[in-house]
Amino acid sequence: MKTEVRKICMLGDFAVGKTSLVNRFVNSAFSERYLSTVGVKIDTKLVQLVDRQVKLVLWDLAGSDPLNGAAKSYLMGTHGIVLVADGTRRETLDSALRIHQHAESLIGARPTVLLINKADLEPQWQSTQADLQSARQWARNVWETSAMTGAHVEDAFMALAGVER
Amino acid sequence: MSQLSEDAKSYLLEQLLRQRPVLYLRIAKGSDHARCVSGDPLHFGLVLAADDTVDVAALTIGLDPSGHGLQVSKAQIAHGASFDLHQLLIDGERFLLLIDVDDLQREVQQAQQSSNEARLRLDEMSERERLLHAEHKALRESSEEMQRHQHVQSEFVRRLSHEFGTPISAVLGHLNLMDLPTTTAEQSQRSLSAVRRGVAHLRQLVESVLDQARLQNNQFELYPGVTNLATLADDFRELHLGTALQRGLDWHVSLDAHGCVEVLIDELRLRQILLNLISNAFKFTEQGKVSLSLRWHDAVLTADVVDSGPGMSAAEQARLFADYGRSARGVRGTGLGLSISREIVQRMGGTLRLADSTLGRGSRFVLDVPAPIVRGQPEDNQSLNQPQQVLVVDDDEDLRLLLVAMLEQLGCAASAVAGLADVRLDAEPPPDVAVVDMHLGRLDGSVVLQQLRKSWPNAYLLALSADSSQDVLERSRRAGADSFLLKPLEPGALSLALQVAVQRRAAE
Ligand SMILES: Nc1nc2c(ncn2[C@@H]2O[C@H](COP(=O)(O)OP(=O)(O)OP(=O)(O)O)[C@@H](O)[C@H]2O)c(=O)[nH]1
Ligand SMILES: [Mg+2]
Repeated sequence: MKTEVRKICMLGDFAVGKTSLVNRFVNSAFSERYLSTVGVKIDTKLVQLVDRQVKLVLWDLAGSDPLNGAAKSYLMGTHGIVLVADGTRRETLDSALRIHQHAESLIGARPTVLLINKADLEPQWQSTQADLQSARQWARNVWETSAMTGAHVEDAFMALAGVER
Repeated sequence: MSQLSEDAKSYLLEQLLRQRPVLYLRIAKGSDHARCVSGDPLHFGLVLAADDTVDVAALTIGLDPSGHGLQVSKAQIAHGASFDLHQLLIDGERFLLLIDVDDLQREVQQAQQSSNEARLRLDEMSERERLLHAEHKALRESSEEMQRHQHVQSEFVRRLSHEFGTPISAVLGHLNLMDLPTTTAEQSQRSLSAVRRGVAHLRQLVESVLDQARLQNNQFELYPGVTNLATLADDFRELHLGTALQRGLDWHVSLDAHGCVEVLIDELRLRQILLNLISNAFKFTEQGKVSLSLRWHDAVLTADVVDSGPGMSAAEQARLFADYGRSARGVRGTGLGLSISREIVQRMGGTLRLADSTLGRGSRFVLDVPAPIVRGQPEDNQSLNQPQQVLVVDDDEDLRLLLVAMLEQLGCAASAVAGLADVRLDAEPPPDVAVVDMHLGRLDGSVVLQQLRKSWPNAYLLALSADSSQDVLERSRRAGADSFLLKPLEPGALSLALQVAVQRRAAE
């Protein structure tokens, strides 16, 4: 049986943990050091669903300037979007929403999961329950993840891997 | 460029290739694989398979198959070099061209890195500033609070010295009098009773100050116990008979217990509070009457203390319960007593208020405290006037059987379960009454009570326990119990508790 290939784009403000989440999911590793991504980093991971195998191609976009001219070429052919916000920085939830709207205007609606990352720092979270509640209205799935501990990282990616358009 | 000779072109190409590694791939028709034409796939993080092909699915997945030229810039695969991705369409075939841009990339990365880190630091600083601001505000508030507290404290000390001063000077004065050789035996006798009164007053003041301190330091404890209502009423009648006679006042005590004989309450504290109210009434009243009416109804004990004294002005009423407040009339202070009484009553789960007061006519204080029935004598001694559905939740089987038997004797339709899991919360109609043991093995009865209260807002909930400590009483109350039954269960108490439930229902 031919393995299905699916492209997933990581979107979100800078330093929210997009690269770290991919690193956790693909390599089961984590680094404290912040190395800002330029352009796009591409990784792949084979995942086993109930009835088939899917090769996920993860395009990890730079958060610094995600709305620049290159964005559309990065987003082409995307099956789903992993939208990431940083629970310790409230404004990243707003930018996640903005980035998502921009992406949809470029390529149309795609299955999306929203990750509120850095759950291990929950005591320092600035996002409130109300924020999360309103976020649930525009993302199919909201997960509180930690790239550091790995909490819910697999769940979030798998939720997207199995979703049909 | 067209002016360049072929030789120059190939030289230029050679130079460019030396500076910038490239990878040139030919995509096999209709597949995700490509054959390497030139360059090193590994340099870009791509793996050369055994059959000399490279899996390029990760790159081609979003590409338009008919696009010619630069497709994606600044891409990177795993630990490979950064590249710009071009697609070339030549003679109906697709080629991928990856050009190394690592050197450019590195500069951009460094600039972006420091800019991002600076923004993060800025965010962090403004967050810290916000926190500092909040902390500063909290500090200022607590310092204001402390100043207020200090003011209250010094006011307290000022009042205390006044309160203590009066009886102390009276005691000393009378002792001196008794020492005088000219003092007659009769005078001595009078001085002696004045000294006794003064000392009793001082003792009461000391008690009040201690209570005040205990309340403030949260070391105040209540000890609910079985209390006989008739005995309580009789004791008070006796206690003030002498004073009433001496002062020429009417003194009347009544009890309307609706069949309740004994209740669960901190008797010492109840007596202390009533004594305080009654003593004040006697103190202020020059003529007419003072009365105490006790009433037990619906698991609440109500005490009315009425006098025909001078009454209070609105201003006096407003200050009455204020901390360390004191009646302005120069009669011995009652301020300490009243504010403490009210606080104790609140701890008991009740209220103490001045129900009305009219200048020249008198005052009426009303005390309401929860008083679960322990023993009762149902007035009509008949079965209940309405059939009731009663549910028992108790983990002890023998007790379940006993309770169901008792309830059936009283004419109820009773059923019993061992725990929350066996309760049918969707029962239609829900039971009228539920009796819940506070100690269900590992499960806390208050959890059950809470759930029942939520599911059956109109049911009458009775907590049941052999432990009558204030803690258990309070927990059951907070969980939504209407009243409390003490084990071992006395049939009269159960019957009266159920009657209350019926009355409640009828009133709804
Ligand atoms: N405590 C904690 N730190 C995290 C977590 N995820 C990421 N980080 C840290 O956050 C910083 C940024 O992580 P990255 O993964 O590089 O963020 P990014 O979203 O890829 O950032 P850009 O590439 O600039 O868009 C790094 O220092 C990580 O170590 C997490 O779940 N918990
Ligand atoms: Mg990154």
